[in-house]
Amino acid sequence: MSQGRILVIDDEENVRKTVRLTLTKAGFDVVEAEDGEKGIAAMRSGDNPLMVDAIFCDIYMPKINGMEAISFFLSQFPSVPVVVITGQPDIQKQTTLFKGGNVVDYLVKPIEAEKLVAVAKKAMGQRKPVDKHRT
Amino acid sequence: MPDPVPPTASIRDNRRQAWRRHEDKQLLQRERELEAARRTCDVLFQHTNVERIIETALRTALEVLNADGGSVLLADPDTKQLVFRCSLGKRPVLPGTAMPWNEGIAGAVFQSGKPEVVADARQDRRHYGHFDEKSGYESHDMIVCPLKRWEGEPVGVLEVLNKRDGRLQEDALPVLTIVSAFTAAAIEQARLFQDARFAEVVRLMGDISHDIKNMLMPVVCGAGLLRSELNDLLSNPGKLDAKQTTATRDMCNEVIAILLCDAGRIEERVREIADCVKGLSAPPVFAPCKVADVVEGVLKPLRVVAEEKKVTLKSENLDALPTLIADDRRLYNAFYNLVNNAIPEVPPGGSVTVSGRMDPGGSSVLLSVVDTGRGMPPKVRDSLFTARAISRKPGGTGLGTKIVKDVVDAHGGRITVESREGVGTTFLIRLPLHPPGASSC
Repeated sequence: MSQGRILVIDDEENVRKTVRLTLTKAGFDVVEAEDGEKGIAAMRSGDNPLMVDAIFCDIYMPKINGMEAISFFLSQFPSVPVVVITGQPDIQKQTTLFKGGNVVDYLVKPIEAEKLVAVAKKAMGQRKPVDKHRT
Repeated sequence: MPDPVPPTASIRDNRRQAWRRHEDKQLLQRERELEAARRTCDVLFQHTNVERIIETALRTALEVLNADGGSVLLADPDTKQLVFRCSLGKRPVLPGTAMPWNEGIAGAVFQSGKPEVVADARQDRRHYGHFDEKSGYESHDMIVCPLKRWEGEPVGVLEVLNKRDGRLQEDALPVLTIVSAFTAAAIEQARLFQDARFAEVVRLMGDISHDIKNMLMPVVCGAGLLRSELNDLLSNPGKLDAKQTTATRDMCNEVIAILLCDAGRIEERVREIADCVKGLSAPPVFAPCKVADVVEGVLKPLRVVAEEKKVTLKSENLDALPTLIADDRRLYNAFYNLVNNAIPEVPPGGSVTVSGRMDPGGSSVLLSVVDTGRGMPPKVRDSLFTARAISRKPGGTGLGTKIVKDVVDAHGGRITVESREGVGTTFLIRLPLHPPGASSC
């Protein structure tokens, strides 16, 4: 039985692949998106048809960057917890993100496999019970 | 009162001659000042290297004033010392030698910001005789000038010693003030230039650190994944069914492929960093160089990569080119980057060709790297070679084109690019036979 469905948004293909393999091995379903725009499209404004339980999102990406994408997720999908994964830590951005809503963790790359799995499990525990988007 | 006696013709002649001598002397003085200003201006616009600016300025001052020796000392605010940066003459002081910035005649001039003419340094109680004792060289007449712009704080002092034909006097001050002012401005400009380069390196390091972390992520995460898989296997030996075995093998192969791919990318990126930092920090080393040999050195290892992708690498007309004065290692880096960047853009069956011809003017060569790749959209093409073209993400070629531009700039050349989507890209490099910065080799 699946532990939950996670959307991984990162423009680095090898990062997405390793996160997918790690989380899949731990029992999660993984959906990938290569930038903020595709991540938002995957969530599809309003109804979350993919039934995503958590989002792992990079910050520096082309097109719509992570900060914009995460703001969108936090406002449109407040019940879906977000995990930030970044190669360029920034205290100010971190503070803004945590204040913005359901942000579970702020992970700085490179991230160990065990840590990824532990944070994914923590995120599942932070899913909000009431979600008008999940029917 | 009796009428003054009218001057005789001979007295009038003497006065006229004296006046002419005075005018001649003033004219000579003006010429010396102009010549000093011209030479120092040349330095200001030719060099961005503080040491070369200082040495040329000091040499100019000594020649114009016909002085036997001299030094330029720059202030070090951290240690509150004046440090000898350049010393010329029979027994020069070793560069790096320092003295307190409030001692000696040099210290007094640095503190006051006003030049001083000293008839005999040995008789001046402020004279810092330590260096004379050590070198065995006696300072007699001396002028010490603060190194400062017309308005501004001194950054050091310039001192000239022992005029060969007489004694250094007040009339030498305007020349030395001009040299000092231009030198101070040039030093300031060179320092700003170096600061800007340093800032560029810092910015590059930030981008690179981000890229490296991204590339390390699959390595660190993948290693953990393999360890976990291995532990699972060893804790259940011989209990895997065929489906599980296939799944495990596929996953391990995928992780290993990712690890190898990222290791190669990290290696490539580190090589780029080394080339880029070298380009920013070290001056080029010019020597006679055959472009054909450099290009063949590039194409040989890259043919292995190109053949895998069924891309042909060719060179045309390079043997016919004359020998250039160039830094062959840097040229190698430039061509390596251009060809290496082109290969992935070219579909199977295509080619990358490096060719050359003489410029019709005969003073430079035109080299081109032409690929039959997919071409670049105008936005990407126009941003090439600019600082902002440096990729924020791995896999980008921004750093590569920056290296190429730096190499061409170091040779006093020019690089342009033409690209049509679906047709291909041409980089055109014009290199002078003899770069402006190279001494005659």
